[in-house]
Amino acid sequence: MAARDAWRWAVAAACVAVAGGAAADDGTDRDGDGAVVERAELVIGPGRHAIGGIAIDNVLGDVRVEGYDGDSVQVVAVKHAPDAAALARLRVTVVPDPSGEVRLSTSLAERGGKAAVALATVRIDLTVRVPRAATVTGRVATGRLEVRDLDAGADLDSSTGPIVVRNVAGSVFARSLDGSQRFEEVFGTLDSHAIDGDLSFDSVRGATLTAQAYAGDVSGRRVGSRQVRVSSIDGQIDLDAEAVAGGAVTVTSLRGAVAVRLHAPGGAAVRTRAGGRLVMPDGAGPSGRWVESQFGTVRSRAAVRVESRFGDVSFSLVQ
Amino acid sequence: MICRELQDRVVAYLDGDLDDRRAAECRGHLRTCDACRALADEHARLRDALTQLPAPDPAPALWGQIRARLDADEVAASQPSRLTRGVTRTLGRLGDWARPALRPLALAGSAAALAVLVVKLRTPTPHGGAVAPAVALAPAAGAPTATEPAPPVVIMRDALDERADREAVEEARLRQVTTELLALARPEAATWGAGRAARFDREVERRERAILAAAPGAARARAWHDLTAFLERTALGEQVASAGGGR
Repeated sequence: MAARDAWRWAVAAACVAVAGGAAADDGTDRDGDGAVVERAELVIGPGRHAIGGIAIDNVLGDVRVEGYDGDSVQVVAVKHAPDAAALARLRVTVVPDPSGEVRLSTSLAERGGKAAVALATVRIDLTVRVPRAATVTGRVATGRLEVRDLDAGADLDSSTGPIVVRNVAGSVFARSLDGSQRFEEVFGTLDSHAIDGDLSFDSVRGATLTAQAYAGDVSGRRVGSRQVRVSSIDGQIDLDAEAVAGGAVTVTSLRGAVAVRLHAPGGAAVRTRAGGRLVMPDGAGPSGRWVESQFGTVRSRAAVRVESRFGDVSFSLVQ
Repeated sequence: MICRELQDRVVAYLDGDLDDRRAAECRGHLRTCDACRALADEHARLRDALTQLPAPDPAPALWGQIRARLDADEVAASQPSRLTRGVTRTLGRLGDWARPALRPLALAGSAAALAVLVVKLRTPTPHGGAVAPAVALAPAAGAPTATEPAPPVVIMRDALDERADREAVEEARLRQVTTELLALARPEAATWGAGRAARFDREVERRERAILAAAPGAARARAWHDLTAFLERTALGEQVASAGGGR
């Protein structure tokens, strides 16, 4: 009973915070062009369970999530609208669940007889501080989705807005249509898929890295996951990778050019093939045929496959 | 021709602006691609709706104003008139898809009329908007006089409609990519044994059902990504994932 009461208090605190934020709306500002800006803050404390996850769905603007050494969720919502009537249509909804999950979403209410408002003139930007150990699920449409300093991974979706992930441990999943995806200092399994957006990786380590792009390009620096699988259909791939002993690096494109610079201290068994021009460490190779080479001790070799069925391939070893 | 090229040219194709060779390429592609055919149909319907607009009847005084402005511009002989620039800018805003359809109106000397044209397109929306594409024409309140500047063109759709449109465009792109990937994956699957090929078909079907069952939004987007990622792997000759796989 005491625990249930504790949770009730937490929810009540959240509600008060929301109301307080609304009450602080006399803090709405009008900038130079007459637009209205409203800023609200709220804090959601832990209830019976620690806050283990937060799901954020904001198709009306940016989302920035930062992990920190606290146990509550702190939200700053900034709404932009051309006038007060449009501002009133912008909603932020917070649903804390006793299980420790917090859901945060934004919406635009129906017009209800009010004047139409252009999508480009309304937005809600969310900055959310969460306990580092919380798992983050985030979705944006055209806004920027950025998560950083987390220890339990993230699951991220975007349509055309960019996704940026920095200093995150745990499993990270990201999907976008046209939005670019950038990952820096990710330590854990990483699975990234984009249709037309570009993917870029810097300092990624973990059990597996899976990066798939349809038409977008893929670039990677300091990629050291044990299993690396990078592919594209039309996009180009440019990868600096370290082949972990006993690991695997597979880089494949259907029509895009592929360039791989491999650091393989434990040796590697390398298979390469290019429908176009093939450039190997010892010169040009034949087109359309597999070329195999091996170095290092058998036991520690990584399995490496680099291929572009119709494009060029350049493969080199970095000592 | 790939789908994206067709998408770039579909308006010009429908307007008959392409040379014979390019038009034949488009025709050929449309014969074989359901997604692009649907896209072309959509463009054609929209174009028909726009061209069936009645020519608006501008106030006589407005024409006098335009003529005076044009005369002044001829004297100045330096830059195009503000009105002309406004109309050009407006046509630019209307976008490539609408410009050809509105050309007859412009040629009919209705540049001024365009300045009082309020175009409102309604498409099906998940939040209960109007159903059929419809074009409403409304004269500006208070006809302009010779001394008043023409009111600016107002094209105002609500944000909810715009968002629904964007989602429809995004889904159309995913559909198009899926069609292209299936075209790449099927020949690959045809080289497999019967059992593996059947498994591939089942996996595609399962993912397609998941898309249909998913609620619009994140769940549906994920279902689309699951299907396209699976097809990409297949097109690249990778082993077909077992049932239950995916992100």
